[in-house]
Amino acid sequence: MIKKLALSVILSIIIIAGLSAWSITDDYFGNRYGMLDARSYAMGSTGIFNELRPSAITLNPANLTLINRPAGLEGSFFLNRNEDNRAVPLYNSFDNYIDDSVYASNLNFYDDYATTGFVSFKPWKLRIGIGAYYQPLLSFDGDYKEEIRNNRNTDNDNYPEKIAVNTIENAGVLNQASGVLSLGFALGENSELNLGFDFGKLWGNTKYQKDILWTQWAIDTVGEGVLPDSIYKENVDWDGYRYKIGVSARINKRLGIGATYTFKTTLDRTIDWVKTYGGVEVSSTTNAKEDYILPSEFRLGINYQPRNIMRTWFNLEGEYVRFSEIGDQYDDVINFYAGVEHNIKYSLPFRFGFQATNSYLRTVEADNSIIVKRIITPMITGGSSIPLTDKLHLDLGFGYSWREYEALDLFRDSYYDDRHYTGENSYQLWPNQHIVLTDRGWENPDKVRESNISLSTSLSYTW
Amino acid sequence: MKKFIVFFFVLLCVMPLVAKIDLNTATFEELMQLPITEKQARDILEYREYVSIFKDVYQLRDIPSIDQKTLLNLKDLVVVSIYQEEDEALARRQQIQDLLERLDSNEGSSEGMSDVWQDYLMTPHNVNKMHFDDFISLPNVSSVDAVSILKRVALGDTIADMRDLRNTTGLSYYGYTNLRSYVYYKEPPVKNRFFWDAELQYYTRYLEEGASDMYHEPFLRNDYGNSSIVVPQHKNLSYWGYFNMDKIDPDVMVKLRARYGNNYKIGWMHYKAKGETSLSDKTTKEILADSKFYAGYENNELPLLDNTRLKIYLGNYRVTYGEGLVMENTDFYSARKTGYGFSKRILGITPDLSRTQEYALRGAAFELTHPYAGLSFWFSQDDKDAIVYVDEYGNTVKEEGKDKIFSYVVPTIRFDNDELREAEAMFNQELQSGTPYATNYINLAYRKDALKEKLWGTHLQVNPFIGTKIGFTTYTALYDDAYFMVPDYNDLKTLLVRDSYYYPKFKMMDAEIANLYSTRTDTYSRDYRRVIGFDGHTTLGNISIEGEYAELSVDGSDLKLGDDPKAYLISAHTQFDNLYFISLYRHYDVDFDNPYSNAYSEHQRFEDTILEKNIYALTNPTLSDLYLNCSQAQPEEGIYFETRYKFDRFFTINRSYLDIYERLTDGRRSVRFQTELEFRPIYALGLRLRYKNQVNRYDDYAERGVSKTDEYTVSVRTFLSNRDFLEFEYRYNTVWGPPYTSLTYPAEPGNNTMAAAQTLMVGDYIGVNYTHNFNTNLKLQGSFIYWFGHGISHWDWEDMEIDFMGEKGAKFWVALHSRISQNMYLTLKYRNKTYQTQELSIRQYNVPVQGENLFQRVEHKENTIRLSLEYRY
Repeated sequence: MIKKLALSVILSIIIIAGLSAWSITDDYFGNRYGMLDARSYAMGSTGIFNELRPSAITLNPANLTLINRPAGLEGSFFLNRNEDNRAVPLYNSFDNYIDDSVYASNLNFYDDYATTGFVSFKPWKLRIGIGAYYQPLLSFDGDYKEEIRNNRNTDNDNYPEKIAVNTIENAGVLNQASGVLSLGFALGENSELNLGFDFGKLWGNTKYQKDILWTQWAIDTVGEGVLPDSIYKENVDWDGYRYKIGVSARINKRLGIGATYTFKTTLDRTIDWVKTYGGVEVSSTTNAKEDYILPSEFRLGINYQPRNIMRTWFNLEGEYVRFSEIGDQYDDVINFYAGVEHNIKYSLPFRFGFQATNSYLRTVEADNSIIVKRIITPMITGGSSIPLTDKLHLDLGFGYSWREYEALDLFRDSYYDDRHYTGENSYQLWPNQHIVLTDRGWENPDKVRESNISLSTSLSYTW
Repeated sequence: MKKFIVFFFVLLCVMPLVAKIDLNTATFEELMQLPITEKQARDILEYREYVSIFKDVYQLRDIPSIDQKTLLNLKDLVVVSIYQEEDEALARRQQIQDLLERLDSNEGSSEGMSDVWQDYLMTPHNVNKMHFDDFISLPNVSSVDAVSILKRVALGDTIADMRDLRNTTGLSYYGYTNLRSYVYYKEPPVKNRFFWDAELQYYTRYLEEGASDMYHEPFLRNDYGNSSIVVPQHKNLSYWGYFNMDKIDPDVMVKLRARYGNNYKIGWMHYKAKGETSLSDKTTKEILADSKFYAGYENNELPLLDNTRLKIYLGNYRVTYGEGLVMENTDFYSARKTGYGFSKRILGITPDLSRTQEYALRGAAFELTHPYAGLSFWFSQDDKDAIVYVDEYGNTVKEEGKDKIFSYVVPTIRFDNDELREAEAMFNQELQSGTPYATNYINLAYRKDALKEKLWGTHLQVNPFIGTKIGFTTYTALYDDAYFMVPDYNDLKTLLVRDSYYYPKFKMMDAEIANLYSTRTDTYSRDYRRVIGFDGHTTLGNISIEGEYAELSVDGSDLKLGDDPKAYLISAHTQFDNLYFISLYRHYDVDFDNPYSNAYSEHQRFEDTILEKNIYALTNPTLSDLYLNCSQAQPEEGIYFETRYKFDRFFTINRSYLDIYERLTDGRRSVRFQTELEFRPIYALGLRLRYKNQVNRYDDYAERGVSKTDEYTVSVRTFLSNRDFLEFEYRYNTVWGPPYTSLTYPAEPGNNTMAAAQTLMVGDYIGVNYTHNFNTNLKLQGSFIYWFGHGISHWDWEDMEIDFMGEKGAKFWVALHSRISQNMYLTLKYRNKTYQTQELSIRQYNVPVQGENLFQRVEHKENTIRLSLEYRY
């Protein structure tokens, strides 16, 4: 009887956990790629007014004719090292919360690429251009591993016994392939206006898996067939279209202004998922349809090219993202970007930048209510360039970002209470009976500290 | 931008040059007439437009596409005219760039004053018409310097130029070098025109140790000591957890200033600190309430009154007179602010866009000054943050229909009142759910804009002789809807301490809290606070003497001296060519509670009180803010000496001081001494030795509070070419304290006795600082420090701020200073700091009190970033 009750409790926890979004950060909204172009990347992902690299059209389609070249090609490669540290609150002997203690640390590498190409021609005072690019828009890649151990034998300098291994393996990106059209008008000797349109096709396939697997030691201790493994698998197909309009205007020799508006996009998600518990499928869904909203964005920025003993470009941009289009819980946010390029010597640029972007951590509670928490991610960037020939450039960019925020415990503690499964009154997997395996809610969340070190490399050629 | 293009041709050269192409004016078509390719022509144009105007033909070689052969081909075909793009403001800014940067880097320590000095630098005063107070308000300009100039001018002499200024008898070399950039002689360097500055700062910082401790303190039931109870250890039972202070939340400051010459000025500033509502989430009314702004008019040449100044300001302004005993409104404390050297006050009324919120004055201010007299008055109406008495439901307690106020406060975070009350309700619920405490709810709480204050004040000044002045200052703060009420010492502990078990923590030092000013007592009831004082200043030869006396009106008569709490300070400054002495004596009564004062002191008020030492015992830990951000001086009496002497070009004794003082609240006597010897065998190399010693309660070695601190620092500084700088620094500290034996049981065989503290703590640090100038427009600064504190707190002055480092750890920071253009300046700084705090007894999560406890060191990792962008036009 007790076993059945415990089983139903555990089952409900698993189902709730399954229904809720993955707590690994950005599993719902994904990791947003900024500019993959290494020059822009090194300058704080700025470039709303950018006349120097073909990939400028990915940020603002109007940049296509601003570039003022007949054709261009660019490929970019991106490598990211993500470190995710999750910590549990730490209390002193007076019950004061004093800090946090890291209980799981994960280090992963992810990579991706993007390509861009365009041609443009110049009839009369007009310039007309068309281009295309491919880039990953959102990444859902994420790997996480956590070991559940008791603290037996630690006094004798031994490793404590391993009870279970929890893993999350997410993979996949939301891709974007766009066609770009741009028109440029010369307004004067040093002024021009460019208008651009971006028609993007979005698609992708993402996979999620979340497992709790008991160790052989735990199985041997409690007995065969008592401890149920939990496995959740989800497959999502994405499909939709995204549109963007842009303008870039050269005001004079020194100042340029760029702006884009990206329309709100609703994507179709087709979801299949299956949960197995103790090797038995307990629930599944196939072909479930769901709308997914990418909010509209308005980005505005300037490019300033002063007279400086180092040839200098300065970009300053702001981006307004209407998250409120997704739901009432969200506030609209403003992202901030700044970047500088100084040519210390004539062809030796030194680039650096800063950006502060906002994202949301979305958690579905047991009662299906949605809790969202805004996370700010500051980032510093730097980079340089190697001119292989006059028209062929190899750009290098480096970025370091970090974020600190609260999140719910990814795997709730009560699952490891072996008394639920054995029906006994005392633990077999835990060394003493002082331990109280209760779930931690928002009153005691994890503190998550993430850092990202990224490298971006671009090879571009303009005719 | 106004531009003048000036061409200078040597007459004899004119004819041969006519057919040549001028690199500085040639169009693309003209350049194409030269034997160069289209790309080379475009490169020349681009270089001229975006890199540099040509100063000579050889500069062409800076362009990669132009090789030596091309240069030789072009050399006889082109000419470089002298082309000067002239803008007075730009030229002036170039001239004072170093000083502007230095003021920027000192902004942290001279909050709000840098703007004023930067304006003086851009639009200087006529040295022949400056007043005494104008001179002595400038950094490192002394009264003796001021008198030497004023006497010369009074004799009818006119200072014609910088060299003439240098020849002024009695003017020190330091006075001259510091003064010369702030003054003009015949014609101002920049004529009246429109100036504007815009500034943006983005700063992700971490709270300092004191504030962090304060917010971490939990609200717990009294029965948590019972081991049979499974403790629901909840992070959100502290302010830290409830308000999710773990997340990155930047400080953002936006500042805009505009002025026309020195006559018309306007400005606006909004500062949002970590944990506060951002600008975009505020209503217009909230933005207005939390912003600083002003509009002002100044006239130095009034038509009927010769050499008389008028200042009128609406909005936020700052008022400073005398030694800051009656009035110097700022939220920021600064230790040992003597008023000399770089530790200056700007006297009079000045516009205010500083981060000061609590003691900001908002209203109207008027000032009229003449070389012989001065008059000013000001009125302010503003809502102030306060610690108020609250009931268990969070409502403000009333006293005869008025709000009952405990004190002004400068909070670390200006929480929203509604959010705060929700948090308090949850904390109260927890406090009341167990065995009752003596005080089982939050009875004193921070409230934003809780106190409606009207303040008026005036200053009268007579300057009978050059360098001599007598001033009278008073202000009255009116509180129509509130009473300040602070209980007597004996009753105060029951108000401040939650658990009667901790009543013994309440000590003599806490009389400072009991002596906070009350507007309603057993002997009187009023609705105001009034401070009255007078100040004087005279200069005799190379000695200047100044002082101020102030009284807070309590029981005595406003017109009678000595019958009310008082504060007074007198100082003398003696100046020689390579030597100066400062002597300063001060006395501040314990019950002299003037929140608008900001005078010299060694410590800030409430240091060592229960507000600092026993935060865990307070009914509300955020009461510690009363100490953490207090800008007032601690009640002290003492004498301070300071000197600097340059023996010769090799040896200098840098600023050295000795302070002997007594803390008046508990009679603790202390001595603090610091000296530094600099040896500079060659210009490029300096060796510094610094020694600091502080002894507290030196006259009573039986007292447990005795401590002796010694600090030795040695640094090697190298001044490299191109203004690069490299420094190695090593510091060694010791702090001695008497043995502190803690007996957990009576000392007899078999019982557990242990000594729980050290008698000698030793710490040290090693650091390296480096500055590299790529060129005049790009500078990289960096530093690395590794330290070991072992109970001692180290300090480090970074590029713009001071950082305190406890226990042991390592940190590095790099700052990039980029001058984007002549008008625009960008700084990006990143700091990484990893350190451990003290060894603590840690409870395992989800284990009851009597369960397994661990001893651990807690490691912290901090990433800090600051972006600063400034545009000056």
